[in-house]
Amino acid sequence: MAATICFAIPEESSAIVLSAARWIPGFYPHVMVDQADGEIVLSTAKAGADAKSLERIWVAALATERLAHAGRVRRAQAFATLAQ
Amino acid sequence: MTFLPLRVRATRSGDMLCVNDTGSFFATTTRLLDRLGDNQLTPSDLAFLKAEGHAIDPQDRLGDVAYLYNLAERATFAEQLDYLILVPTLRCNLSCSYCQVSRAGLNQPGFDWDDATLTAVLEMLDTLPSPRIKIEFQGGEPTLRPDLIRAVIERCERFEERQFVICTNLQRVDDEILALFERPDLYISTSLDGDALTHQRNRTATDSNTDLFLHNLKAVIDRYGPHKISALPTIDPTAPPDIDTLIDSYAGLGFDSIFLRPINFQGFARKRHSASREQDAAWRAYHERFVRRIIERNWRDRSTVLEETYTSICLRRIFQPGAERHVDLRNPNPLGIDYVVIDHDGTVYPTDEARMLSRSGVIDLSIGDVISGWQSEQRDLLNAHASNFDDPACQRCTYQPYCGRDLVDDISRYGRIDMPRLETEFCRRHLHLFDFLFELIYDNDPATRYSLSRWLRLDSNPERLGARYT
Amino acid sequence: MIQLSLPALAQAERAFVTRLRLDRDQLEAGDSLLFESDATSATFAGPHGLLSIEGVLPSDLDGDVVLMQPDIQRIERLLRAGSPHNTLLITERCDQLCVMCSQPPKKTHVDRFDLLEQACLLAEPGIVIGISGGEPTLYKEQLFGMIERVLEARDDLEFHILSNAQHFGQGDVERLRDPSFRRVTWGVPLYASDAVLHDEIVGKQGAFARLEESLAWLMLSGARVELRTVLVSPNLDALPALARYVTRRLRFIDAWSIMQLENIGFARNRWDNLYVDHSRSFAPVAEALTTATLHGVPARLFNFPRCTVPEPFRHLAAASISDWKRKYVEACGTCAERDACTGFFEWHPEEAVEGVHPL
Repeated sequence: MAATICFAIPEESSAIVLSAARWIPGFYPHVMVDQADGEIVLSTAKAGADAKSLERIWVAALATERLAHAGRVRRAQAFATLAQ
Repeated sequence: MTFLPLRVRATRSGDMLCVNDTGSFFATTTRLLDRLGDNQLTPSDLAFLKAEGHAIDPQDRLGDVAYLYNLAERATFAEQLDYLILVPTLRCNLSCSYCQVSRAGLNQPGFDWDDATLTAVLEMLDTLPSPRIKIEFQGGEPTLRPDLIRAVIERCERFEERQFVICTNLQRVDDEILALFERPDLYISTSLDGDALTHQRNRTATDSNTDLFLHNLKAVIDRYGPHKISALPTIDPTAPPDIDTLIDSYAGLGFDSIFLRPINFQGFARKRHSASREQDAAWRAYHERFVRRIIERNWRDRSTVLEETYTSICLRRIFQPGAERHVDLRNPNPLGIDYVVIDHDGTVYPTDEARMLSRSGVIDLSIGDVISGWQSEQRDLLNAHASNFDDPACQRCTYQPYCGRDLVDDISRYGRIDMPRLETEFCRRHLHLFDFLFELIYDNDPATRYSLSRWLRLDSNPERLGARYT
Repeated sequence: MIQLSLPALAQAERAFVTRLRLDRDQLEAGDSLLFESDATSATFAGPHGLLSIEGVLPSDLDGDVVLMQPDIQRIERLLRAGSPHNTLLITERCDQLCVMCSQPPKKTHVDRFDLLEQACLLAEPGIVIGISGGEPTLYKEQLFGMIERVLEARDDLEFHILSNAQHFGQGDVERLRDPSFRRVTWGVPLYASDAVLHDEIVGKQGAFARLEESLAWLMLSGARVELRTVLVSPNLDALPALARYVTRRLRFIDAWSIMQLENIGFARNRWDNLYVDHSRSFAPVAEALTTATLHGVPARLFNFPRCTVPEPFRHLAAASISDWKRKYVEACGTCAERDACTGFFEWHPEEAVEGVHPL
């Protein structure tokens, strides 16, 4: 069963949203990402995948991207302490 | 501002898995993440996240220091050379189907350490600052040169802790070899590809060789018990053996740890098997079936606990940082620092994989030789890229804290180390393996929990292994 | 029971420390040699003149480092030769008032740092010297000074210091980072991850918050910490949450000791309200142990007789009770695990040993 979902790209956070979308096919190889008319389209042809599972993937990707953005300075400082 | 060092992954089973930079984790639903996105976290959300170290307030000094400590606990700090893989001879008395490059004929001259190499190895041992030493004798077939093994072992008496491993095909176990085996600090590692037929097809070739191997294997197990000796199957991923037959051949000998190892095709062999990506997927499916079968068998027969070694190592890495020192999965994973391989001609390689690649003519990955040393700019340059800390993909990956980095694997497959991480086989393999492990961790089936609890060395079967927040 | 304090007479008028020796060949500076002995007393001669100790065989004192206090006419056996349980009391003052305190604090402080330092310098090779109170870090400056000088002079010694960790600050970090402090373990009590409950148990408001701050500095110092949790009725059900807390926020600790109650001090009068019969309610303890093990934090049970602990967790029950206050009961006579078992405190009530059975 194939599934497709679309999201609008909000102007105020478009950089984060676009970045989140770009990482999805790497982390979820069965998902394809397209961008059309100011929308992001996630689709999959994988058996058993449905719109709900795509939505979860989108929520995860977006949350990860937002957290990465919000914590980027603190995280970079922390990881720098690990340099040998 | 409150800092949330989390990454999120949608799992196959429908959970939202949230993993901290430091590796602690919980499962939740999209609702928490929606509240997070809308800046609408409730007081109980925040209390949970803070208590678990997933949200750090600027005024929470202990939480902040703990975050840094826990992060560092995940990192390897390779400092002193204390682990050597030695190849005293490349000659071998067998000719296994998948071993064309790492052997020489039984009577071929010029494939053993010469006197100068031996002297250099022994002198190098004298200079090691570590009080511990681990040495693995590989080949070729190292038991063809017991004199060299002895010379090395005798030179190690000064170390406070010693561990020796002889990787042998067990075709020759005479008194001279037995005298070595008697040492309590010496362990034996061998290959066992499954039942006798499979083993003979892949390795021993003749009935008499097979009988000799099985006779010797049983004899050393009888003499020393199954914990002095370990065995590994090498498996052709294009035609893997029947799972139960493979398990039976191990369990029947008293082995409880089985390290599934697919043949690593190199050079021409890899080109011949060009559909390697599909093959890798088939291998992962086989591995998963194998682990699930072990879980079933452990539940049915509680007298022994079987494990697939690498799965078990990765599981412990999730929960118990620092518990494993497995050089194939660590972060950073620098080359030529705390362990090296010294070949039959004294050439030094950073890993055994690097030695094979170099021998097969794919690329020269030697970093020096035992006489003139192996400190080189090239090595240092590679090591500047030996971690997953700064990679943008890894920083978005829930499994970064548990994962590692394998420069040699990337070079062997892609000829470069800057391949986008998510497109590497190393990444695909571990992404899949950790997905699978988290599926098991959140599986409520008592059989699954029973096996996982044993692999984690627990004294009881906790009701749940992973936290859940709803 | 081994006597730690004995009646004695000395020529000297001021308190002094000396090590007692029976054999002239072992004599070193500061030692006192056996001069004569009879059935009731042993007399030693040393740099502080004659010292006569009553009620003990001289052979039991050989190698002991003792503190003689002429004003009260007693010696204190500070460091007993061959014993792994030697603890020096720094002060009897304390700024917490724990409900179960085995050594209730006093208001006055007698400064004995000089004498205790002399004792440490005379210690047998390679031992761990316990430091206790009261609260030793109330005199942090003197304590650190003593520790540093002893560790400098004796690279074979280690210290185990019990402290409520209410007084560590940023200013201590650099000092504690000195490599010699790798030979110091701080035994720090934490009773619950809930601040209110912990504060209640230690009888001091704000103690939990101050403890967390100290632990942050200790972690930054690379200090070795043994976390100690005494099991009492109020924190029994809070143990699993505490385990979770430890595995998240205190991963740097060397060990976590969960300790059964000692029927002495404040605990004696509050026994019925505080004592947990863990053989009947082990579940929270088991859950705490499992959480710790799962996350790679080494947890042990102290003062838990092995037969009272369910088999899977028995190997975690350490023989923790000090030799001089340990006893076994009648049922222990035929037990195969007696040598590995902690036994009971000398003052453990008889009615609380029911259910004890040989393994």
